[in-house]
Amino acid sequence: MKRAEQILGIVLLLFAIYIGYESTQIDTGGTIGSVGAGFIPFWMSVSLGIISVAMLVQSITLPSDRFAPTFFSEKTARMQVLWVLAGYLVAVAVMKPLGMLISLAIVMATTMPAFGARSWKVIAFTAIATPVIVYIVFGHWLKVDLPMGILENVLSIY
Amino acid sequence: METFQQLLMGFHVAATPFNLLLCFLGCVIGTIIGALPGIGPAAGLSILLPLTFGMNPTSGMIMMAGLYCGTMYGGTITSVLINVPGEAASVMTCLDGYQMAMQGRAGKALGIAAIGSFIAGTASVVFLMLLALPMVKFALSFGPPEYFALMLMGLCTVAGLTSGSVLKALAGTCLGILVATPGMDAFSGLPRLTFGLTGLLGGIDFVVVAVGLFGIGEVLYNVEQSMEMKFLIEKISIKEVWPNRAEWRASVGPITRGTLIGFLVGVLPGAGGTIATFLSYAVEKRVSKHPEQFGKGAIEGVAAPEAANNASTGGAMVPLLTLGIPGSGTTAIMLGALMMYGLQPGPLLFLKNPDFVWGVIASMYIGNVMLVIMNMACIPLFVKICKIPNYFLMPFVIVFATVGVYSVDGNIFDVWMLYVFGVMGYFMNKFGMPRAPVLLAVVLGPMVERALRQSLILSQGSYDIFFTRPISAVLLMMGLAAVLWPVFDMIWQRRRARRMAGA
Amino acid sequence: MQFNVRSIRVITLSVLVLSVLALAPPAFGAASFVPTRPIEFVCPSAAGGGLARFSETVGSIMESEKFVPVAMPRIYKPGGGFAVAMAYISEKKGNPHFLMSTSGPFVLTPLTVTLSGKKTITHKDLTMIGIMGFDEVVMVVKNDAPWKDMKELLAAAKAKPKSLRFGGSYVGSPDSLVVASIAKAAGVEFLYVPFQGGGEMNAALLGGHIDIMSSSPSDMMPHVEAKTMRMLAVAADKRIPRFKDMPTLKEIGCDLVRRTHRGIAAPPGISAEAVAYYENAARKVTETGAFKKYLDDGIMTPVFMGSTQASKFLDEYADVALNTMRDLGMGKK
Repeated sequence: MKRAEQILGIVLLLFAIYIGYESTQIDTGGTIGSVGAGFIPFWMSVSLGIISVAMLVQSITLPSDRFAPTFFSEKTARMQVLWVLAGYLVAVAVMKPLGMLISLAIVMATTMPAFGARSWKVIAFTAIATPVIVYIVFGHWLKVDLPMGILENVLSIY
Repeated sequence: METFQQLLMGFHVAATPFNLLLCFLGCVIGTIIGALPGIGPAAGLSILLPLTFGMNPTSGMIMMAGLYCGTMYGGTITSVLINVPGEAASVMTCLDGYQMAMQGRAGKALGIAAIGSFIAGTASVVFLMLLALPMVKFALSFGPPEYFALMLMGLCTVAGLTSGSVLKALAGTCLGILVATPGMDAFSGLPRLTFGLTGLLGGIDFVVVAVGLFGIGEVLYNVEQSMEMKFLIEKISIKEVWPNRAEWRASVGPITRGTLIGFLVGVLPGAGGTIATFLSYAVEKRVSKHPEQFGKGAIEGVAAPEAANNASTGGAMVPLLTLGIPGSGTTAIMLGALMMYGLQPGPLLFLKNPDFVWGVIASMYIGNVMLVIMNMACIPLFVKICKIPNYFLMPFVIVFATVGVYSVDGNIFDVWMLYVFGVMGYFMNKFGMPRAPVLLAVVLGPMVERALRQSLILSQGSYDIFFTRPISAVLLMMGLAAVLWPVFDMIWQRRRARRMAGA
Repeated sequence: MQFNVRSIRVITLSVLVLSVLALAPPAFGAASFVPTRPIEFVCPSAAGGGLARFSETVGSIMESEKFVPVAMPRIYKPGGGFAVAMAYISEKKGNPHFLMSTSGPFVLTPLTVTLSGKKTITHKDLTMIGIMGFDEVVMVVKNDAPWKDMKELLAAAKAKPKSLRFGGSYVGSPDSLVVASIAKAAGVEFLYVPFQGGGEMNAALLGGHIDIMSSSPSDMMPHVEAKTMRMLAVAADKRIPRFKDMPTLKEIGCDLVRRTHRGIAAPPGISAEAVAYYENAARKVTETGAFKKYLDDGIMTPVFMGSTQASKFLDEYADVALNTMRDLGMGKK
């Protein structure tokens, strides 16, 4: 955990430096006012930089018994987080080509086992039922134009 | 008094069976829409708008007023039950509300929220009638420097709001302001920090950040804890939703103070409910005898911001009705709807169409009554959501969050951003980094920046403008005090501890 | 080019399959275009604003009067000063079932972005269908302001440079260009204070934090009637019928006509038949009583320009705006 805190400090510091550099490149656009578009981003990244250095110092100097012993509670838990993250990532990635409904089915099918659903029948049923409900409530009643992907010509939303 | 007579006339208009039915329908739809993340009051109103065109303006407006009030209540439900704030004003409710839900006190949290909202909403209608005219002068005295000072004071109090490391809270505040900067610069009309992405041109929507950090972040965190974590569920009857005597005593102060703060801040156009909610939370944490319980399920932490939020809607009506200036995005849409009905919104609306205006005010009042009854009766039902097994509830939160965020602007890019903020929320949770400061900074950051730059244009670059104007000087001093307070407090405590040890 | 029988068969077959998939009668051979599925009518700004009102009005008239045989749902894609919606429409290359409503920023946002040295989609990349109305810009002061008319105000501004605080929206917006042009024509300097949203700006004017602002006449109506604000001048070529007493900027010596249009655009590369079809539909909309009432309520100037004329108008507008922006000092130096 001590190591993790140090990494957090470094990541924040690098982020601050990068954004700070980017904000010096912002076009302020004309001669309007004395404070341009880059003012707030620049000074905020400077502040963030200072804070992250302070955090880094704190995480190095404080004795390790002041931190929790480990970052992840156990290996299976970590794998489960990664599994959910991966499933969701796939779902987001296919949302445009395959459509919102299919990608939501993927979310359900990957996430439910991670939370301890065991019966594949329940999982399959929910994974199919959820997008249908979403389609009716959001697409049909609330008139949100959901991306339909390959279902575009099969199901018309209007 | 004339205003009371007019209000009576308003009740007369609003209390026809048809209008009551519409108001009720609006409340129900509003509660449902408010509970769906991503579809806030503004979007809800625009969905409902076409439905109301067949009606006469008063009935249409009454339905919309009911919907507006309903969304406010609905937002609270998701904040408490699944830790997803539907809009900026319910972020503070998440902090203690969700903790209460995890301790099996979801019913109590929703109950005090409904009661607090009702009291504050009612009081603010009364304030509106009595104080509208003097309040206008107060609202108009706020120019850009005053707004800057107010927002800065708000940001200064943010770090003290949450328990845990002050450094991490400050880092969160900076991050939040940075998150709000990409997009079109409001001054030069030029894109900044967009990294060549079209999706970033529109900026990062607050809903994306809120739902990502709180909703998705929480789900990911729960995956890890899923084996151990369970909501504590008690059997809940309507009787238990009511606060007991001790809880009443704890909540009366916060509700009163929250109402006053909410009304005062709500009067300022643009500042709105968000600042009111967390100023009132900050005040409660300061005056409380047990500030360490805030963030761990303190009932005051739910009562105060909910009261402030609802009182601010009454405050927002002051500039709307007296000057014809909408104080928030939602009231702006209501104004637009007025124009579609062929009514001219503005200062003359009161004189030209008094039955309409007072009918709407009365219906907001009736709507509040309906909502408090409806909510109190339905809370046991809402709370059952906690009983749904995690393997249903948690994936549903992801689905809800994804569809909701997509509906804001109809953009898949926002779903990608949701994913990013979800991962960020997960890690912030692991590091014990408070998430509320990030969200509040996302809301306040752009306002601070705008007010700062406007002020500096007005003063032609001189920073004196903030100190030579009395209101802004006072507000800045209060901000400074908010920063220094914890330091003094620490010194004082240490000295007392030493004295105790010496004695 | 040569076609053998096989390739013709393949093409015919695939076209048939596609049209069956689209659940629509095939439309070959016919010279005219008719939309076969719902038209997505994209509004590039948020619900509730002025352009949203235009989109709702046009969309509902098209549907109710059956100017189009299909539904025309309004889709809101706000953000980036139209850039988000324009990018979305330009992705739909050649697809005639997408339309968007347009106004000033349709031309101006791409200009500002190009001026800063970046590439973007401009109005020339999309197909203009038509312009259906003009929104005018008026100059407004508080009712008890010391200046009787625009001339007095300009004289005061000239006597003491940078003393008058002028409110408007972001730099590069239609009204900011009007202000810049006034300053140039009259040889004065204002302190230009950008605001976001009319509400904030109105409050600032009433509270005396700014001296003058630019706005649209319909937003000002209630304040003028309530005698809390006064309109000094309009940047149009003729006086507004409803405010006969208010002079145009031209009359007081600033030779300026600036207005923002309300129109419709389509994706790039759609067929000429489709353009003609929508052009015709848009013209029919402007002839309806409902649309005339919409223009009248919003104190807008009626006009109709077809595709070619509208594109020409926008090109000219872009040229003038570009010069003004350069005068303002925008763009890479």
